[in-house]
Parts: sequence; structure tokens; C-alpha cells
Amino acid sequence: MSATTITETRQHAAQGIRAFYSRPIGWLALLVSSATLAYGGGGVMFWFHAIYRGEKGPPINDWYHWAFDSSLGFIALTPALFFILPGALWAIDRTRLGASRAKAAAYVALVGVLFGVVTGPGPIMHDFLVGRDTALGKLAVDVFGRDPDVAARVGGEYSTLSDVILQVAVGVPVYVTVALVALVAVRAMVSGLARA
Amino acid sequence: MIQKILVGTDTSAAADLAVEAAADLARAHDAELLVLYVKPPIDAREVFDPGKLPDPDGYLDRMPQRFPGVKVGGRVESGDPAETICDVAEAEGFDTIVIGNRGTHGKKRWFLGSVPNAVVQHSPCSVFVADTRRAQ
Repeated sequence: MSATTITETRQHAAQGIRAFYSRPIGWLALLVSSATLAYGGGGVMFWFHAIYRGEKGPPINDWYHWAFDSSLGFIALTPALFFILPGALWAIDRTRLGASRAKAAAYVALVGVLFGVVTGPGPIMHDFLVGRDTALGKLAVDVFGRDPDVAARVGGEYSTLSDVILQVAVGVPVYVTVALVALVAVRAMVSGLARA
Repeated sequence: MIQKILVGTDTSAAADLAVEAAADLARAHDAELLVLYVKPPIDAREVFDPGKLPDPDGYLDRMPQRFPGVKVGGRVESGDPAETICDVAEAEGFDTIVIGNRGTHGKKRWFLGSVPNAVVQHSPCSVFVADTRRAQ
């Protein structure tokens, strides 16, 4: 790829991102999608990792744990979603899909897949940042209090690789579904605002 | 002498005032007028609010009826609005570009940039800035 092509690609990407966020609906979509994916999708993935598989984390109440992890996910992943949303729309435009429903379905699928892949290193980051004996994990116990039931829970010992593979394999269908919920929510909000 | 006028539109009420100003100018100078709709590279409304997407073809088709006696044509292009307007003007020898002044003020301009400002800065010909504030 020549330097000119790289420069042009950068310019087109910047133009696309600017165009997506040139309307308030672009920012609304980012906020709603990020919150829904982090707290809704994050909730399902929290249940899968912490409760179903019993992966170790700070011994705090499950609800606090979900809110804590999801909030960190919301902060960390919103910048990625800032690029994923216009990127998905740009890719769909290249496919020349005509029907509005087909475009929406492709958009939801693409956002879910990309978000699922981006969260792949999530279990590694979780163990590194807020794992059981990390500084942030200890702070979480100090702030939210130790939950003896969670502390006594017998956890499974899994390899990091299996955690990452399952994060993507389970995450992709979860995030596709949640991206659909986010799309419906944004459409409902826009329709409600138009009526108000 | 004004012979070829180009006006950019996004079919909004403010842009329509610029189109009216361009038609007045074309009529006064017996000039040719091209109404250009530039489809943005990405539009969030495509998936989040498809009912609100503009209908540029329908809008442009109505131009001859709206401005009888003016040699008016319409065209749809894709790309960055300011860049495309300037490119078309340069490639096809337009001597005047008409734009509205909406988007030249406010905080939003600092982050998103402004199509009118960019056209004024990069235009290859004269630019007529129509006052479209009453549509805001």
C-alpha cells in the first residue's frame, strides 16, 4: 500500500466518522449501544464467567461485581465502539444492500461480531486489573464488602486460552442479540422524541 | 459575468433557502444552475431512523417546476460535501458556488467543521453566501 493510498484511506475514514457523528442520532446510538452492550451483554457474560464457570474474581456480591465489571467495560469499550459503529455502517454500504431491514440486520450482526472480537482479551484484562488479589480487586472488596458466600464458592480452574476462546464464542451471539436490542431502543427513542 | 452556478443542498429547509437564492441569481444573470446533493459517506439515519432519510431524487426532480425559466439541473454525488462541491465546481468550470451560512457558527462547528466554511476556504471560484438563518 503506497503512502498516498494510506493517506487517502485515513482521510476517508475520518470523513466517515465525522459524517456518522455529525448528527445527534450518531451520539445517541453510541451512548445507548455502549450502555446496552456493557451492562446487558456484560451481564450475560458475567453470569457465564463468574457464576456458570466459577472463574475467580474479587469475593464481592454478584450484583456489585456485575455493576463494577460492566462499568469498567463501559469506560474501556466505548472508545472502541466509537469506531465500530461507523465502521460497520461503512462496510454495509459497500455491500449495496438495498432493503432497510437487510441493512439493519447486517449492521446488528457486524457490530455484535466486532464487539465480541474486541472483548476477546477481556478475561485477561479482568484477571490482570480486577482479579482476586490485584490492587483494584482488593479496593472493590474494601468498597463493596466481602461476600462470604461468594468467597466460599468453589471455582473452576481454567486456562486463559479457554477463557478467551469462550469469551469470543459465547460473546458473539450474545452481543449480536444485545446490539439488536440497542438498535430497537435507539429507534424507539428517536420515534418518541419525534412525537414529543 | 455569471454563467454557471452550483448550489449544494442536503434538502434541509436551510439549504432550500440557499437553493432559492441560487435560482434568483441564475434568473437575474440568465445563468445555468446545478443543484448538487452530496450523499455523506456514512449516515447514521440509514439504520437508526430510515424514515427520516432524505429523498434527493424527488427533491431534485421538482426543480424545473419550482423555478420555471431557469436552466436548472440536479445531480447526486457521494463523498465529503465540501470537498465534492469544490471538486465539481473545478472540474466543470462553474464560476459561482452558492451556499447557506447555516453551520458557520456555534460550538458544533469546532468539532464537526462546517461545510460553508470549508467551501469558502477551498473554492476554485466565487462564493455567494446566502443568509439561511431564518430556517434555523
